[in-house]
Amino acid sequence: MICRVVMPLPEVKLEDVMKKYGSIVALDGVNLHVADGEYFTIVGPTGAGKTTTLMVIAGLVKPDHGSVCIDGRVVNDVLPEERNVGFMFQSFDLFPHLSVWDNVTYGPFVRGWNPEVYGKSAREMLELVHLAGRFDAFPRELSGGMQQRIALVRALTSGARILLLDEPLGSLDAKIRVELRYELRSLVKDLRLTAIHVTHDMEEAMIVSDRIAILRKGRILQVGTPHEVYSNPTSLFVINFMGETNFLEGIVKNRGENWANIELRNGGNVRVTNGMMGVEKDVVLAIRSEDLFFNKRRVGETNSLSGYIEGSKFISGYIRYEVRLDNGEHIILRRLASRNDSFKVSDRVTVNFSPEKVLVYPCPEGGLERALSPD
Amino acid sequence: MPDVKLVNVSKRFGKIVAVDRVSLSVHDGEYLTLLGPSGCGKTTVLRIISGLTNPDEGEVYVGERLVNDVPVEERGIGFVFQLFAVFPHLTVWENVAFGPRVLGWSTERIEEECLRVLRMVRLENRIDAYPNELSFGELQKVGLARAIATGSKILLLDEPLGALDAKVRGELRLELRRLVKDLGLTAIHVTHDQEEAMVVSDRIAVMRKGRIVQVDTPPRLYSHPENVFLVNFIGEASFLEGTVKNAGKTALVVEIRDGSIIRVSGKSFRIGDRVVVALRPEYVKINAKGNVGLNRLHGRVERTKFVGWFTRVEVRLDNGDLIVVEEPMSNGHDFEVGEDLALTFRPRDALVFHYPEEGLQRALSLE
Repeated sequence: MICRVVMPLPEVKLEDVMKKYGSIVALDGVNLHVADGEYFTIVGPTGAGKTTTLMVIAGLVKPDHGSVCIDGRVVNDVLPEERNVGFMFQSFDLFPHLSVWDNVTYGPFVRGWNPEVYGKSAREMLELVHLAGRFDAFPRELSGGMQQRIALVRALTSGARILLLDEPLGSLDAKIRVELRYELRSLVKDLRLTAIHVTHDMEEAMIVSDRIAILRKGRILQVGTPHEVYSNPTSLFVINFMGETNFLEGIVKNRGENWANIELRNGGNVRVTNGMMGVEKDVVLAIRSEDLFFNKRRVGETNSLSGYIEGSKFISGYIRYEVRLDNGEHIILRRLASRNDSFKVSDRVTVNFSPEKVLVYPCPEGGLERALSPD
Repeated sequence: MPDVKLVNVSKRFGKIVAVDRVSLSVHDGEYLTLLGPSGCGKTTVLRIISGLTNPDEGEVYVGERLVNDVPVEERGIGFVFQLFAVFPHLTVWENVAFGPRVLGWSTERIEEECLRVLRMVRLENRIDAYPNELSFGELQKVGLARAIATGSKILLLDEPLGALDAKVRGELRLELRRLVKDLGLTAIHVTHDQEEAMVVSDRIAVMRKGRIVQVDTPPRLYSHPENVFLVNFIGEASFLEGTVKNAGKTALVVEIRDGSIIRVSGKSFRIGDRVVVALRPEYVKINAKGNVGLNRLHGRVERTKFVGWFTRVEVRLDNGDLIVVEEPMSNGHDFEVGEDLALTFRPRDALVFHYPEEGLQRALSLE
């Protein structure tokens, strides 16, 4: 009988992890399960506990409570270097006395791998990050952004199956950052690595991830695929964190089985088909800036609110309009810039949106501002 | 009237030419941004205007006055490295009064000026608060108030929002422009972030390798970039290389790599010219029905990514070129890798350039 060697799955699991620094609760019962080969991103505002979570996985911070499992075994007492994880922290420390090439091939070299194989992949990656020409430079000769790209390549070539990436694109120029996030995901997938990536940038998270966890004040609010999180944000905080969103407060006036009419606090009516709540309930409606449309003529249809354009701003191919509604509310609307766009500041407009695009939330107890605040 | 003017300004550090014959006029009350990749010389230009760095050649004017030999503190310019770098142990009032105190102003003058400035940014009710009690928006106001408390009407901002979270940065850049405009200041802002530049600026000066390559309003820069570097740097684009087969007054027929023919709008090209056609991702349509333009290219989905309000689809054309398309989510179709599809675009939505002498790759390079 052939005895098959079962390779442990490179998966990461956190169960009820707590961590306090003095009286500050950094992690407040975090549960996570990152699967083999998954690109998983933890996203949240500064101070949410993202880096602490990574440090706990790496073994650089000991949790006060809860367990950390890697490859199916509890590693709470395992030293960082024995956890088989590669990491790249914000203070990416390249070996100062080694050239770019020696830095990025250090891991496989120490592991005694075949130089022909790792050499080829290291060269390809240096090309992808636009630094192939600098292979013989030393870290001190490179800018911060260049050093970060080298650190990223070093983490990718290190030979570790699990990668922990803390703001790996953080100090790069915007243009390179946008370009590299697509490449970073492809590299991780091609190399069949498991990645846990931390960022405060929701767009970056949407692009690199298989799944996203949104962290706030040491707690995970929601975990899901980019599609799930986008189409069904479970809290006001999450939808607001994802992009520019309009919030309108109102009260449920009447409802059927799969629809309800909301009377807005400042006047006007909105029909919704999501998040059914009882009559007389106070609610907050959330509508994304890209789900609103202009109409110059038709008024009086379902979900049309009238007002005038207060400001407009061209931003890379789309136009962001600020509209002052007749009920006093301020609305942001975003649309692709077409060359014959005829909407101008102070024009009267009607803003339309479809009932399915309105997300309905119960009115938060501490008020809207608190529900959206990072802390 | 120009408020700040540079004429043929150059600066070398050893062998490196950091600033190479830069000329620029910033008008009174204008919000101008210097935008470019790391190492393009934008911060050096800002330091030359402030007086922190002396140019090797060229003239710097503030108002009508040549200021090459005027020390930093006498140029009447407020310089902000990071808006949020306020003194944490000082109150709002003490932060704003810091500059005037250093200049040795009388107590009455300090009182009067600081109160005036704090009223302008609507922080007069928060004068006793410490920075850790303030919101980001309020901190930004303190940073601005402090920069202009000594009477500066010109504000130089070096990556002022760099250290902030994406979400907060997105909100504050709108607020920053509003404040600068309300206060009637002239602002020169340095950033590497295209979106930030578009949101805050009246005009953007794009820099590359020490030189200014184009100065224009954000929409002009996006729709009429003067070269292939700019089309790629300001927004995203895919490129098709080809040769002009036929040239009318404003219309061109271009043969691309596998012999396919496309029609684009473009002037000042001749038959036989080598060209690069740039396509913005939002102007390319997938499987559009009906007569949506003369151009139809076939390819296969190579990679797709859901990004929220659009899906980004990378299509490998039959001729081997890669085209990136942004397909609005409301169109509802999920694209599969390997799926065959047709791309269309209107002739006037394509941007045409002469093929760059140094090659396309080098012309686009961010280094």
